[in-house]
Amino acid sequence: MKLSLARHLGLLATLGVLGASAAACGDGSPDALSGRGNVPGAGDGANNGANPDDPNTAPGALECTVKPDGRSYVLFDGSKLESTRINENVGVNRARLKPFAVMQGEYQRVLGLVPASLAAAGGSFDEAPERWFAEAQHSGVSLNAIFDISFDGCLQYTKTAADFAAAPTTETATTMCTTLMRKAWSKTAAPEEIAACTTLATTKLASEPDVRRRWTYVCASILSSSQFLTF
Amino acid sequence: MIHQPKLSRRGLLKAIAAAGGAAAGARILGPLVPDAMAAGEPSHFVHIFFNGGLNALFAGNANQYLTAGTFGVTSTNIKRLGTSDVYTDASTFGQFAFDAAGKPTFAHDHWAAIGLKHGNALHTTPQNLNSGGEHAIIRNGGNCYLTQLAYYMGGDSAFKAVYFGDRPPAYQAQPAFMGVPIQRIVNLADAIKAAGSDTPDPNAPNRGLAAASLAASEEMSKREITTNPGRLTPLTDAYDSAVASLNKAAPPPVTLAELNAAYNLGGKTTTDSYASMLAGAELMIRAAGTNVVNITDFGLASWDFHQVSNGSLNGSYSRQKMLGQGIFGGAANRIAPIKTFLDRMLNTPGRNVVVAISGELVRLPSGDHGDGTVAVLLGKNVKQGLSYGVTSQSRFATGTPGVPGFWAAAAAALKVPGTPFGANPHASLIV
Repeated sequence: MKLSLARHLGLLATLGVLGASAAACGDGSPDALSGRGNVPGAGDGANNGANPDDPNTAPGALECTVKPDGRSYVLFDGSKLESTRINENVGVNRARLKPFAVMQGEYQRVLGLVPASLAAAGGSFDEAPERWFAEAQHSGVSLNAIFDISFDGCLQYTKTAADFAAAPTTETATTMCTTLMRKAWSKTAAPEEIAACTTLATTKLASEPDVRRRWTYVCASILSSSQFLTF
Repeated sequence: MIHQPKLSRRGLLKAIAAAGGAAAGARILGPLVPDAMAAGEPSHFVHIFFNGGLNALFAGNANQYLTAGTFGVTSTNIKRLGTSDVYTDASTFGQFAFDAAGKPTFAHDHWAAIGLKHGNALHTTPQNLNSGGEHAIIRNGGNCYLTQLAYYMGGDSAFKAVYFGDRPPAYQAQPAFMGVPIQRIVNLADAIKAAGSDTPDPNAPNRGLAAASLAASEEMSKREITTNPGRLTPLTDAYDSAVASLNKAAPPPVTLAELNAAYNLGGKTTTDSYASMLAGAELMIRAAGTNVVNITDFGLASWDFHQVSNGSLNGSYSRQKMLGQGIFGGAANRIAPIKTFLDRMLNTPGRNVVVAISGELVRLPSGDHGDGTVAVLLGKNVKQGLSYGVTSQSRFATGTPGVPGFWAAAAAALKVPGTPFGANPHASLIV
């Protein structure tokens, strides 16, 4: 009976804190999973409340600047239940690396094909055993492997399309980068992110004589960015 | 075969590691990193760790157990190294010191058994993360000895510190030190490619252009990483590491075929076997110039044998597991790949490879835990001998050095400039 009561109280308290947190930084109806919503209640500063889907705003602040409008719950030891809750804004610090199991679908979604080298790459990413979850991690070695797999897929992607028959110019690179980033990331890229991509295409890869391979590097670079590798 | 029973444990440990934001990625180093070692003979440190407790009879104190026959020690199943005070188990660690014909090996002449008393007779476990012997050996306050040593060793490796095994050292993400993190290697084929030591493939991306592309990936990712530091901060190290490695000149080839044959890997490239971890250590040294390699055996305190039957069975169980025999007939032989590694790498011309083999706890005659360990230290700058061993009761003498002494000895054998871990209390055994 005592245990049951404690569980009951714990559940109520948890719900209360969750509600308090939502009130603190998430008034309105932000879509917490997709990141499509605005991030109100994050303070009045210019950098606060930034929408991660809006390329013209700066990243949202990591801390709430508005005092949470919720109840406080004192635990049996006198501490407050919400005291250990991390003070963070809505819409930030929630990215998680995609597990290997979903990468096939992700490449298919973006490129319309699955790189042949992906099939045997489970060991490269310490794929979790069946019926078990383990958070994905990346090292320098595995990032290099991702780039190679992406390059493999992008080689096919750029192989015949007319868009990739000519060497990138600032205009064509900007168009391609913007389009592919939006598709791969499921959100609009910021100007500086597009600039990084365009510079790669027009300047840093200039020594590549095969223009289709040059586009392939650009494509693989986008598919090796954190925005593609995370949910 | 041995993977399945460990399924949930392995996954659990991985999840724990991930929850702690397991470190990933090595970082190309800036001007703060010492480069004193870069110009001379490169040094490499490999720590082979028997988690749960390595009996001191293996490291060099076997003679202490002879009179009482503790741990099954007899006059015929131990071997003395030369005229030194180092005695080891003949059938297991003895293979490192003597070849099949009984002739002393290079390891025989460069084997120091050094004691360290950390004073904590508990296991470090996921439930006891901030205590226990493994924590005592790996952690230096808020720092990690492994990344500290990798930093002080200097050089220009893009992968200065790496680890093999199914969980991070001491069961938790270890902090980077002065920009040097420690990262996990899970696949030998990928590691060879990242280091550029594989056979060139005309269809593969050019290394320099791939480096530029990944650098652009990092630039594109900057905002995402900044706004998601909890999970993505290690990606910065990973990008830097990959780019740095791709920008380096390709090292002499190391082929999977060579490693497969040497370590009998059966064609597998994932590092989920004991032999593959030793092969990985050789690979990372030769291909990536890695400073520090940590190899921790699989499982939770998997060398913690408390069984008793007319005395402790710790010696018997340890021997059987090391050799994959008896009740451990389904387990991998640990001795063979370690011997292969030592034979191939310990006396490599132009490299200073130092190997430490230890657990975190010696075993008492009862089979219970002691409060320190006796480590084997091997290397071309290491002299044969014993420094601060244990008694017949597996007790350390007053004045036995602590953990810093162990790392100071390793640093001295590696010829690390200065004394980053203090004075070396085992100086008599270092050239």
